[in-house]
Amino acid sequence: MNFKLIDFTLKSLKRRLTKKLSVIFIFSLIVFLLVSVFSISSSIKKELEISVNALPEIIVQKMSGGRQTVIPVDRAYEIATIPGVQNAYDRVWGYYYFVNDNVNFTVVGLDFDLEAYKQKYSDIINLYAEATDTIDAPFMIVGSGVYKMLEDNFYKNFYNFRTVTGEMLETKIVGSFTDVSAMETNDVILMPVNYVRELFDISENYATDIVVRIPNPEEIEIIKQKLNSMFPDSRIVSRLDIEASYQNIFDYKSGLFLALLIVAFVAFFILVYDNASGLSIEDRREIGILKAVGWQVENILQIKFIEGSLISLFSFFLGTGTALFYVYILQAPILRNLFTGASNLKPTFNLIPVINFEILILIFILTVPVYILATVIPSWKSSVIDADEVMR
Amino acid sequence: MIELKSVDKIYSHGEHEEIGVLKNISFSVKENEFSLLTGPSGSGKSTILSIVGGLSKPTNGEVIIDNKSIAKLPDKFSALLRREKIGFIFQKFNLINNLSAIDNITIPLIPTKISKSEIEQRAEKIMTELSIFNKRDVLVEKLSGGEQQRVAIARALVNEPKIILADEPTANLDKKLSLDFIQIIKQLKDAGKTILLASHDPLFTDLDCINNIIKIHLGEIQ
Amino acid sequence: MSVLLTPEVIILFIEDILLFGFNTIAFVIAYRIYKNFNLNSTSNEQYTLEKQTYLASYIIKFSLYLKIISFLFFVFTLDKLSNVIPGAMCGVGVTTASDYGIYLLIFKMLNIYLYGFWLLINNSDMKREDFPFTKIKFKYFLFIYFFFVIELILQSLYFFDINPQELVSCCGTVFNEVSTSAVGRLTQIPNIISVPLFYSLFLLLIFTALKKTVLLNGVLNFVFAIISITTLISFFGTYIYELPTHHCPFCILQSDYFYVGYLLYTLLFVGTFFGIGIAFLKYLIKIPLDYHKISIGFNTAYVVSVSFFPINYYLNNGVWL
Ligand SMILES: Nc1ncnc2c1ncn2[C@@H]1O[C@H](COP(=O)(O)OP(=O)(O)OP(=O)(O)O)[C@@H](O)[C@H]1O
Ligand SMILES: [Mg+2]
Repeated sequence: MNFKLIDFTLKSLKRRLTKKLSVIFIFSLIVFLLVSVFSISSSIKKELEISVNALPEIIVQKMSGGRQTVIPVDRAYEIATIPGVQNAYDRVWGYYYFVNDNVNFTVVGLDFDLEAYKQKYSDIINLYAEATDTIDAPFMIVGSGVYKMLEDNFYKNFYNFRTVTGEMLETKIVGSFTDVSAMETNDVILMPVNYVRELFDISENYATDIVVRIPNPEEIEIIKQKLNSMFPDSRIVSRLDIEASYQNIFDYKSGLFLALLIVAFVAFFILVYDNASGLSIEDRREIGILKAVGWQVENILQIKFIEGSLISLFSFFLGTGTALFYVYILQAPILRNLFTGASNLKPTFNLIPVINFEILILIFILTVPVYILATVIPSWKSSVIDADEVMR
Repeated sequence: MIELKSVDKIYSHGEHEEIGVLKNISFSVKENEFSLLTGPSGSGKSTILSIVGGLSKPTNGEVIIDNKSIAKLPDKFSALLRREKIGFIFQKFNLINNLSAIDNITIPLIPTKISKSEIEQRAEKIMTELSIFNKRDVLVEKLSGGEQQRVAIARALVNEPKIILADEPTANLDKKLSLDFIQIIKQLKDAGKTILLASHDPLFTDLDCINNIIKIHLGEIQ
Repeated sequence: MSVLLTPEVIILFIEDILLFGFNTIAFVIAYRIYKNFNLNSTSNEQYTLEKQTYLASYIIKFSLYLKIISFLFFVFTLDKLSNVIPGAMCGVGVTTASDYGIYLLIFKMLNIYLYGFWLLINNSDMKREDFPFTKIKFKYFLFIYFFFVIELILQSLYFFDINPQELVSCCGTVFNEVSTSAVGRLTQIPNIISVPLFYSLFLLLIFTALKKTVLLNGVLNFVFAIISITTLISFFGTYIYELPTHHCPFCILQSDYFYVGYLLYTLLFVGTFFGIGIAFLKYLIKIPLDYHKISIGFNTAYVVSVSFFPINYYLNNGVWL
């Protein structure tokens, strides 16, 4: 490749940049959308992989009139005796509506003297053991998302919960924690279980739900059926059910998106074709001059090809760059609701940066050659302009 | 160096409409000669130049440039011929407006294998000779008419051509600048170039450096 | 059937449909040129045709580049689809998931050779002022176009024929048990015959290239390409995998083997491409091209690199597999 030609093309492009802005904009926008959508979905998938693995094998919820209600604690002991079940824990937790920011926190009740039902929580308890041992009043350890939100609202050391009965529950903020899979823990508040009971007004003999640990995945399905017949008033959700429902949402949504994209592509192709065809008198004259001073048709085709490559590469990187920024730094406002909005995922979590080169290559192969192909005929048309036009 | 043998040029638009522009043109310009093409507007001077430069093809007849027949040479090779042997000076200068003087001058050599630095050296040398070196990086649209023409001349010379073709070079210049141009063209002749110049400017007719005058009228030599 | 419409497959189709459109334009131009091209004419029609040759050439050139990229992408897609198709561990399983797979693969490779040869003719043609091969190169393109269409049809048949629910057999069985396919059978030739054959063919190649017996060299290059692939499957590959039972042309493309397959196949392709190309052009346009050095260079590089694995294994372990 002749560097002087590239140099010349750059200069010539600089002069006509305004005409190319619309194409660069649309091209970048398409790349942006593609990269964003694929990144969000692969990021959420990653997130899910992590959190689904951390999910208990089975959750038992008591239902009443189609809505979830509290479940008697003694059922946990009953379940623990089923062969194949390693352990069954009753959980006390709930959502607390934080008016200031219009979000829900997940308040989880733990017995700070015992092992928690989740390894993660046990680790946190141990981490703050010294600080919490001596406290007698309500206290909490919060996820980093919660911490930030409270801080933004000037709650640095404590927060006043309003219990279900309307009383104030002044709670000390002992510390915060983060996690790779933020989706799971970002909005979590860990509190001693008795205070959570007070907050949500759940009495001693009841819990929110029961989680069941089953070491052998083969047995999950059988035990699920068993629980179903033991407790006809309950809903038994297994990890596989959750996994499948998430998977469906994503596959359906990326399919829909792809269909839209194909339509967008046709429009894009026409736009590029049109833009490259619209030769102004000035453009024609310029090509005529080049040919009159000894440029060959091939040379004109070369600079057009270089021009197409430069524009498409530039737009590709622009689109990719802004998309990665939008998804991972700005956390994809608006677009992510498309993915999470309809599902029962929690609203606050961070998209884990997973730069997936496969996706970038895929999008590259889809967009750049298509752009250059769309310019083939217009480039040729301008390359065969008669050189003697400059004599007239 | 340049030889035309019974050249016709007929433009055809569609099936039936045919416009004969040149009829049976024959003449020759020997090496290091200066020939002048004159004739009224529309007589076909520019058409002859574009045929000599390979910008368009004759309908009939033979065109020989530096011992090579170009009447049926495909565009690809006539472009090469222009690049290697011919310097063109156009009536309207035909510069690319948003480029600097030096960038305009180097254009003919961009597709060649010659290195960028050598091209620029060559261009700068010619610019110095034409005393426009101080305008090296100025956009050509900001230059005066005379300066623009010097840039156009420099561009025609940068490929070190044997042949110079000029179409109405003084049409856009005032008297003084036209006389300057004549000085330049004299120097080119002294440097050994073969020159074919089309003009109806009377300034040229009685120049002593002109070897022969070809008068065209309505597409024919008189 | 619809499950296989993954983004990769959709992209392959989008690209091919576009290429098909453009190649059809080139086909129409090629036909006109083949019928009416005459450099001696000064008619407007000839002038238009001369201009159109540039469009057709540009399209064909671009198609070649895009075809090479999309071929790599295709191989990559096959590898990726092996996650979706039960039983498939690599591209072999995906290829055999439909009867059309192997033919599709062959046609894809063949077409890259054919488009490449077109470019060789074009290069010689554009160097001469009388464009002596313009008619013949476009006549040849008329023929390439049909191969391209066949490839497209095969590709559609292939992707719609795959049933993602059906268990396929992969490299483990395809090249080991008594195989019915032609390629499978070729790999059954015992190594004691095929490996010496491979090396003697290579020596013959060098000999004929030095002697410039062009046609014979071309034919030998073609045979060499086939033998190279079969011995790669039956012999050399096992040393790359360091497992005597692993016979596979695809797994070497995976990261586990440092993508060495891409290097090997590129060397083999370039070497045989020029070898066959010289003979092909000599036959088609009677022009002797001197690409022998490139051909010998790349073929030698292939033989050296592929021989490295068994020798290295022997030096390290003191035994052959
Ligand atoms: N593409 C074309 N189609 C038809 N007629 C043309 C075409 N180009 C030029 N002509 C005609 O050919 C004739 C000669 O034109 P040409 O430009 O050679 O004249 P000229 O002698 O250079 O005139 P001037 O002194 O005005 O520059 C004119 O009558 C013009 O109208
Ligand atoms: Mg004129």
